[in-house]
Amino acid sequence: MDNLLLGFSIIATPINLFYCFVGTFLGTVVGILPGVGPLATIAILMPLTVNLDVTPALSMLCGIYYGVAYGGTATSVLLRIPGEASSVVTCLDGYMMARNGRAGSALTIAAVGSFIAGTIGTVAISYLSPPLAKLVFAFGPAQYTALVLAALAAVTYFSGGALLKALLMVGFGLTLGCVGADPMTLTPRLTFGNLDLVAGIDLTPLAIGLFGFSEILAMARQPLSKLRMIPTPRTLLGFLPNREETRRSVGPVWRGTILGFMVGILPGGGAMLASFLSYALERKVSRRPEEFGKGAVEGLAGPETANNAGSSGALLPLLCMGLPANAVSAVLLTAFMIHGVAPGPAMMERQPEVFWGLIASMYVGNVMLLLMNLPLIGLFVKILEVPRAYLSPLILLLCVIGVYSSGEDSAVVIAILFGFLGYFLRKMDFDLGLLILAYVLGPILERSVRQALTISGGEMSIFFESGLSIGLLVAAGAFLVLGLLPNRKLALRDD
Amino acid sequence: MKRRDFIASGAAFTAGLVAQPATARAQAWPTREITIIVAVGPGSSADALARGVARIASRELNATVQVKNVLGGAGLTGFAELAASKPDGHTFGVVNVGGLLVFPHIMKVPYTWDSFSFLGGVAEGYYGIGIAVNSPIKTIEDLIAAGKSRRVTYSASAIMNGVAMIQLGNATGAKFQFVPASTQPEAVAQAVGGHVDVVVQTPPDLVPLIEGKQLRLLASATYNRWPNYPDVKTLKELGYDAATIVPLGFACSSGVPPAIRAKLEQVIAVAAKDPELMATMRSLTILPRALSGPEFRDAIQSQASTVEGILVAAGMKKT
Repeated sequence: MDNLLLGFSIIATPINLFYCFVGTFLGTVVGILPGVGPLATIAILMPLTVNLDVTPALSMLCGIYYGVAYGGTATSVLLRIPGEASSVVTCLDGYMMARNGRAGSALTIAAVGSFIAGTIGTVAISYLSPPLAKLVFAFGPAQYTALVLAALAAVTYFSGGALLKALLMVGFGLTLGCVGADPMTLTPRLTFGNLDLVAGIDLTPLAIGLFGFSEILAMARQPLSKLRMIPTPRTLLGFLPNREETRRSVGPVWRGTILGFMVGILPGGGAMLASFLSYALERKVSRRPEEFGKGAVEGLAGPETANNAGSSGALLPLLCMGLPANAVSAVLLTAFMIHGVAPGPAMMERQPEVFWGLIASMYVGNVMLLLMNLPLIGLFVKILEVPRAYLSPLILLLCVIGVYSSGEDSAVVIAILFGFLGYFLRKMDFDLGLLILAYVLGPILERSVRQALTISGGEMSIFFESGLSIGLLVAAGAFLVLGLLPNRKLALRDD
Repeated sequence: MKRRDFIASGAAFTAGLVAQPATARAQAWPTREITIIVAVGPGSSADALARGVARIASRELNATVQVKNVLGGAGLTGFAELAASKPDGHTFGVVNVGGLLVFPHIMKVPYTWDSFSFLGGVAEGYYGIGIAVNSPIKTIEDLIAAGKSRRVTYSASAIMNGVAMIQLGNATGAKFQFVPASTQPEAVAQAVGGHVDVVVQTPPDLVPLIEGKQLRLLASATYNRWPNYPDVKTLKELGYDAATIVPLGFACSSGVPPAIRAKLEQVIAVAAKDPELMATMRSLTILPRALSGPEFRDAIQSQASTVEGILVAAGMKKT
């Protein structure tokens, strides 16, 4: 507790608070803009912070990082365009809530859920770090293999809908994940001699195409009269979730926080996986699974909380071990090094003021984000009042710019191709979420299996050597078996 | 504009090979902003170096100098774009061993050594062998002994990191198996967790874990000892002629008029000695090493046969 007070005393200077604010503000903006990611933003700002003190510099850069998960919600809910990869799931039910006239409520729930997750995540980093960080090292290739299998089985089991269609989407996602250089030998696969495909298909154009562009296409095919959304109430109360919505959000928020944090800690896990698993979990435990995909509050509250908790969780191995869990925290590690701070136990011992100052800035930053995002909701929902005929081309333009600036020249082509593909898949009731998830998990699975077999010299027994991997494999098997049992009936009824 | 005009790379490649004797234009150079192509993502050491060099080049040439991260193709796209850039001195880029020595053996690439003019080297990566603190292996001798009785595994995020391990294995007859990791932290975590025996990475990857008493630095895999752990010997000092040498420097497409090229070489030479850039290199723990253009080219080329040997051994080399 003394340590944390020390942290607050360090952060409570105007200049430190200012930089914390700048960071969280930038994070929100970056989160809102599709295609502009925290990775590039932090990397570009990093050299500019060299002349700053350590604490303001790091609290600003970290603010960008965790602020993104707040901002990413808005475009997903309002326009069905994921501002960030971790908000892809929000496109499903968040957008449907907006169409039902509950946009303000959806954004409020997301902001408050994010705040709860961010704050609890920070508390967990403050007090639970050492034991949780050990978990990171328990995961080797064999354990990852088991984890991914369990995650895939769990999501397919939870997903509902026709099993065959689900498997088709998983297979397609896995195939997309195979495009690019072979993880072990770097041999190009499925690239058809195209250099742009050697690095694989980027997530950003894929997600924007499948979710954003396909929605614009779907709208273009409908008569104007059908496009009208139910307007959001103009009173303040209209922005607030009603009693029913609040009650239904409590459970998902708590489950999302815990699940998201645990998934976030694991390298390769992070916010996106957390949001998917939370969605799947909520659909399973819900008493109204038939509402999912049609604007279920749980389908918004859970994932939106989980992605924030995931971002916080991913900071834990970085701060406590110096081991970044994803690309963005890897850039943060470079930022730490440039400022002469080696994150990890050494930092807590030798530079406690930096560590606790940063932790304190995260508490403060989350409050700032909540205060900043709530008033913005009123502004955001106004976007829905713009006639769709004007709004759609504008969205299209923003998306293309975002995709173009985020990746390679070919990214725009990929986004457009997947826009058409997504449109047809949606028309035929395929689950695009499963496709994206398989696309993300497939490469991790392949790499882990091959790494494990390289280590063992081809012996399959490596997958059954640790309790952890056996446990996860059993869980995977259980989900598969359960999937074939009566629960299916319930799921089939949704169609 | 962050993006170049899109040119079909084949056509541009040919253009890149055609020298343009434009001495008259040299006086008017630079006529627009200069772009430094970096084939790796923002935040990496190479990116931080390029941004430092951009600042210095901007000062020296009194021009706008921007860094452009051309990702994709595992670094290939950036290399191809650099090779295909108009040889007018407005584009140069970071080159390293991977693009020149590894990829041409694995796949068809749209460039050759002759596509580039080497401007000079500024740095060299430190590499080290890290091992979990609770491992029974305590010394390099233990490691070699283990490698003679069983398969010893090492993780690394790039095949180049393992050059020292391969050379060590060849010299002693020990068997070291490379386990490719997709990221640096993944490679490190596998060693800390005991999933592989050792890890070969650079200081930014290993130092936090060493300081956190999770990892021990077994030996420096470079010809120099690490500045932050001066007591840990190099493999060479331990009696094994093995080292991972990864020089980092700059090149432009061939065909840049000699006068302009000379000025760019001079900028790189100034940058390599710049106190601010040296401070950045120190904080990132990379070894400042100023090399002239030809020296830089030779430094990379000297690794060619070793790297090819590794690729053949790993079954990665395609004919």
